[in-house]
Amino acid sequence: MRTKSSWLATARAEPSPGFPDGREPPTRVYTPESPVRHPVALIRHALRDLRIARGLAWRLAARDISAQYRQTLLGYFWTLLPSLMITFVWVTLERANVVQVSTGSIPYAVFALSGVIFWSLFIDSLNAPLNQLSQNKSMIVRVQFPPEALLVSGVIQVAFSFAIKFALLLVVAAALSAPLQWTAPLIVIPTAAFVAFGTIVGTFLAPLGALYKDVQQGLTAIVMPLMFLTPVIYPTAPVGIAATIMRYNPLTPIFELTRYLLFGEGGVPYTGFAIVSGGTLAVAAFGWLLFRLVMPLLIERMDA
Amino acid sequence: MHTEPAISVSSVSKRYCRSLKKSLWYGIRDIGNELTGRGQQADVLRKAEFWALDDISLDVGRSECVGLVGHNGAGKTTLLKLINGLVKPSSGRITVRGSVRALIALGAGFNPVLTGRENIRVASAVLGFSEQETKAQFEEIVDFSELEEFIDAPVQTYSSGMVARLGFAVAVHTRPDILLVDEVLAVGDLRFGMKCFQKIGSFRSEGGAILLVSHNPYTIRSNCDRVVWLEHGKVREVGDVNEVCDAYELHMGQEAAPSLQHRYGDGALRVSHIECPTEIASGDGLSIRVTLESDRTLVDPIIQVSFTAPGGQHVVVNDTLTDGVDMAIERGSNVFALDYPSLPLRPGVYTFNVSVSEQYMTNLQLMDLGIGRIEVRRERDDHGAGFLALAPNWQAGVAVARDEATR
Repeated sequence: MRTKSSWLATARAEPSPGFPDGREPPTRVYTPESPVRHPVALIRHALRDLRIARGLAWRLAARDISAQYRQTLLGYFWTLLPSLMITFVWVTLERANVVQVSTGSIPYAVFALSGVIFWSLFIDSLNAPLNQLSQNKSMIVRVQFPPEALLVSGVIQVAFSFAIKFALLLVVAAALSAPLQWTAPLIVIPTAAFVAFGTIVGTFLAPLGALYKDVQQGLTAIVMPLMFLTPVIYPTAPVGIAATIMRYNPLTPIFELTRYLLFGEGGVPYTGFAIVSGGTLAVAAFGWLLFRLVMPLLIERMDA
Repeated sequence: MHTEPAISVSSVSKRYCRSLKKSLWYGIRDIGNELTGRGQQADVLRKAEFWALDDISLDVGRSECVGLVGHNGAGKTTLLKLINGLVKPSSGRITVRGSVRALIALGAGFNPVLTGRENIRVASAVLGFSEQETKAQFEEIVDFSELEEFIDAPVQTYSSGMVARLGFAVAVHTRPDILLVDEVLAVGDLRFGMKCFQKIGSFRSEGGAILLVSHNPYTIRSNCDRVVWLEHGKVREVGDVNEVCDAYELHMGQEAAPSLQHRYGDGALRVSHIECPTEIASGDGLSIRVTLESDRTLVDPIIQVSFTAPGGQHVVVNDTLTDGVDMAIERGSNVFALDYPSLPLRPGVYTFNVSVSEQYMTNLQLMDLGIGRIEVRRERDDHGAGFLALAPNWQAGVAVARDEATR
């Protein structure tokens, strides 16, 4: 007990027992033990945090989106520009007969633009978890908050920029009188599949990527080759090695479903899509729990 | 009733790695252990590792403020991180009862392009506040930070002190039960710093628990009841604030050992000997004799003698220029003396510096600096704050003249 005077003494009062409003204090215990040993508690905590994370994720996403465009003159146009550029190049090449692509009833410009837009949806989803980790590093190492918020915020941001691009696609498709189908609203299914598949793979890679920069480099390096082995700017190749790779490329059925629902071209890749989306859902919970579990281990290495 | 402590740290150790490459590789292995359920339990060090914390036990009760002192790298920040749940202990157990706010690097997570208003909303969301709660607290946060006029300006236009003010305001208004304070209150101006301490004081009187890290002994003495002194990851001493602070300050003073080895300037002048008692009682007189060796005659030399408290504050500073003394320094040996009839310093270890400068055009050029140490003995039970031990005459019940009272 202090008896000496100090200028703060006036601000003191007798200790009050417990909490002022009589509520039960949230108790947390930290030990070296792995939470995997108590799966029920692990899942309960994860669900509790997911609830908290939702509101926070929207805040973080709003913060990042408004900060991203505030310092620009052209604003959302920058979201569209890369897709427009790639499409322009391919349309020019096709016009000049450098490449010949048979796209059936779909005008090639619409075919290419739709491919590029859904491709960027997948790549953005794939990069989002690691990007979120590195962009929010200073906050992560200092404040405790549900890490799920980063993943959800990433998904919201990806969805936001996709919405802008998709609006452009609809405008271009209408202008070039592409055969838009009545099934077009069902596009949310493959869209969700792209986001889920990309985010889950990205979530598995993110912890490794937070430690080793190799992951970021590797992701950057594979984007282009992978795009050429996916039916993005041309349909699935009918023969050859490319055809074999494309057949087993998990992105192929999602692209084929997208094209079918939008323009009625091709068929529904029932089996492929079922395998990919089923697989994604099966490992989704595992990826989420992994992300939670490794967070404290990443934090101690991240600010080292 | 909650009689259990707000924070219980029992036998906690934490190992860290010095090598980046190894650290990353261990990180992968730790992740593997975590996923397979083996956990992070460890009582041995791997190659290149060291104990950042070694068998630390500590309790912080409600309405208690515990100070944490120690050198840089003693493990203070690591301990705060463990209590905050950011990193896992390597062994031991930490129980935290209540919500924790760490006042560490205030303003982390602020986006510089966004306005203060937007950043308040984000920061309180990160701290677990809902939108309604933030709205209800918003005015109070802005009031406390005193940033009304700037609240719609981007945070990148703020000074670092303003950012810290905003960060502090958000953190303390999200109604935590436990505050971890890490040397942040040094940011911002003095007046705001005092306001922060008042806020912390009232937080404490409402039942809040505080763990306070500071290098400033006066901050610790005026806020804490108990102090833990960490050294190389171990508890070196724990106990009453004054006992531990006295021991710590004495230790710090001893570390700043007297030295005539540091050479400044071009070496043309050396402080070769300082004759001074190593120990005095508070209020005693003090005589210092200093021998200077000079290779040349100095033009307009200025000699300065200063006493520095353990926190680095200059307590007494005297120089020949201000005191209007002409001190000639000629080629060869020069001896000068300085007498303080009485030096009423509070008990503790002080460093004193003797510096000689030469006026060169309009600049002052430091020629040499001699550093000594002096301990002011504790004669009686004097644990007061401040630097000077003065004994004023207090008088109670002084009659107030009518016109003065209404002034």
